[in-house]
Amino acid sequence: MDPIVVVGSGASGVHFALTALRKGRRVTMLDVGHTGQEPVLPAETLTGLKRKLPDPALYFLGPRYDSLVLPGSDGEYYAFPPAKEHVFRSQPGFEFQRDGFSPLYSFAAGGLAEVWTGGCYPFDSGDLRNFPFGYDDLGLYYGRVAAEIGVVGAKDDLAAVFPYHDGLLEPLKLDAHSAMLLDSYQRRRRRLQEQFHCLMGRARLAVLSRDLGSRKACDYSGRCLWGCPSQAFYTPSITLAECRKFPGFTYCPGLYVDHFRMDASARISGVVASTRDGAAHEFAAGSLVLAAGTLSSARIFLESLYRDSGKAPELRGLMDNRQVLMPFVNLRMIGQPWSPETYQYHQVAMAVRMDSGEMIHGLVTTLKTALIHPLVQTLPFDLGTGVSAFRSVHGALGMVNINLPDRRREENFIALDTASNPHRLVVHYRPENGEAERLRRIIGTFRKILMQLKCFAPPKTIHVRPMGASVHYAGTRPMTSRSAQGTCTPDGASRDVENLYFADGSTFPDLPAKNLTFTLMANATRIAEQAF
Amino acid sequence: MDMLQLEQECQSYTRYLIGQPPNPYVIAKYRDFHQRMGVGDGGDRFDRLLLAVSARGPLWARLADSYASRWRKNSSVRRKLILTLALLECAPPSFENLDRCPAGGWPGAVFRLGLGALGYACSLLAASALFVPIHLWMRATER
Repeated sequence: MDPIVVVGSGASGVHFALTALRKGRRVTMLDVGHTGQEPVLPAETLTGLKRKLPDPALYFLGPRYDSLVLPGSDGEYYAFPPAKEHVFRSQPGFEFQRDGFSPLYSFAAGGLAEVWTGGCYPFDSGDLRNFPFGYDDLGLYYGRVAAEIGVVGAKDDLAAVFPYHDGLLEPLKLDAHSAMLLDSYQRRRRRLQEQFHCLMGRARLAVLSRDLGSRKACDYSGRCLWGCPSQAFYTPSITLAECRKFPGFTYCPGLYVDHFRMDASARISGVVASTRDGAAHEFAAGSLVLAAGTLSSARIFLESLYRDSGKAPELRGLMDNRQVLMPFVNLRMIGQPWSPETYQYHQVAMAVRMDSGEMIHGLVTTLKTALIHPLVQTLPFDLGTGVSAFRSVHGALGMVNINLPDRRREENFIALDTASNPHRLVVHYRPENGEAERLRRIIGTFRKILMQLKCFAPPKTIHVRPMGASVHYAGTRPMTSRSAQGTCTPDGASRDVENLYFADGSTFPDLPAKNLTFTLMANATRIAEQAF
Repeated sequence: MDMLQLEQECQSYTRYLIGQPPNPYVIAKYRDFHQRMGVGDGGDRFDRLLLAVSARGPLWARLADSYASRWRKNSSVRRKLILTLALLECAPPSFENLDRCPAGGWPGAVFRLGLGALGYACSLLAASALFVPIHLWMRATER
């Protein structure tokens, strides 16, 4: 029997593969699989790295200074660290034309979640109302994935919107600023809940607060942003390494999947992939599982349909979470020292129910070891004054990453431009009518909530990120119980092509205001468990 | 590329930003960036003037930066100052200087912020008095 061929080693692909392997299935994974450098001086803290590296600027800014943010850049408050350069390394043949959307994509082993911030926020029954299954069906898989990767969390107010599932580890130690924010919340909890329908609590994070298998608990080295050297912070490449221990697993890196071939009965007979030098290889597939991420899976699907029929339809319903970055100053923390030896991503989360009924999710990161030059240049002073002011307020700075929900709309689509050579992916997105007013209300609400927490968010520093920046792409091949072309079954099986499955965000019929990565893992596990 | 000029710039900017001279590593990286990436070669006459003035010492760097912070945010001098800051925050011992929260707690911080804002206002005033006429004259003679 031919193996299951999985395309992509991201969060969806590796969890699908691991579950299928545990069920005794043979799996071949095709992947471009760019890899990065091994962690340098793994026993050192961030401060130790700066002291002991012979060329620290090479490590922190990169050989071509790509992490240097000079004036006139795109308004982001940080750049990706050089150690993670491989995650966004381009791939010849993958080209796109964007329209209202700034897509990010990855061909790295582990995919885009190699640079995620670890948020593990399960969808609740309300979030899943348009899915062909409910929380009762998915909750089991959240617990399984949490036990597999290690997720910390607490049973606090946020359990009302982030279900408290099995497998959670005790939370990490809080940094002083995050602790103060939660203390402020507790003092004004009733008012925040009544006036703003705001809940706050500990973030759910894919990081270890105690040892798990061969992985060690977080040692608070402060190196999270630059790549956790101890694997306490979870990335999919850890599960990929786990898959590679199975004799039934064949990992084929260095291959860019171009299309699949179908026989006369519209059944996939083989998958065609090329090496970097252009040599094509064909792989026999019992079943094909596209888990390359919504954009790459769409390209493979469309290219295959075009080669088979001469036509490539538009895949409609593309979704992404709009994100707003809201820097703030915690007035109670001004002049307070801060420690770099803490966990660096967000430790506090917020959920705010707007009057419209939509739930908005906020991730609160307190600023510690991120490079300061991108922020100092935004202050309304000369740089000398800015540096001096920054030293006094460094420990008081934070950022709320506000996530908005999205829903499938016909006008947003992915298509294939077959007139270009190579064929380009066309990504078209338009925000919903009235988005500006909606953003204004949400931003206003979050600023008022921050004021209640004794924090001030300067209006001019608030940055509405372009669509595509959140990398939470979904919705082009939605799962549904209704039999309709252009959809998937509840088990991720394509209704257009036999023995083709989608196991990534393509299958989501809705996109709540939550990082979808944890649900990608749980859903891929569920599909592998139920369909294979 | 004038290596001596680059070293003078780095010296001036580092003293201006952290009140200390740069170590040889920071100077070498500053030169390396210019050799490999280039910065500030495409500016106009006034841009080049700001750059030349800023390399004369920390006081001049502050005047040029104050002016640029209001009127020339993307100028070469501003870009070079950001580069210097990025190098200083990566390298020992300057990163410790930048990471250290001054003593005095909340009252001390508020006092320093107020003093800093006042200093900036004075510097901007002086810089404007010095550079606005030159800037206007250069624009007029360029036509």
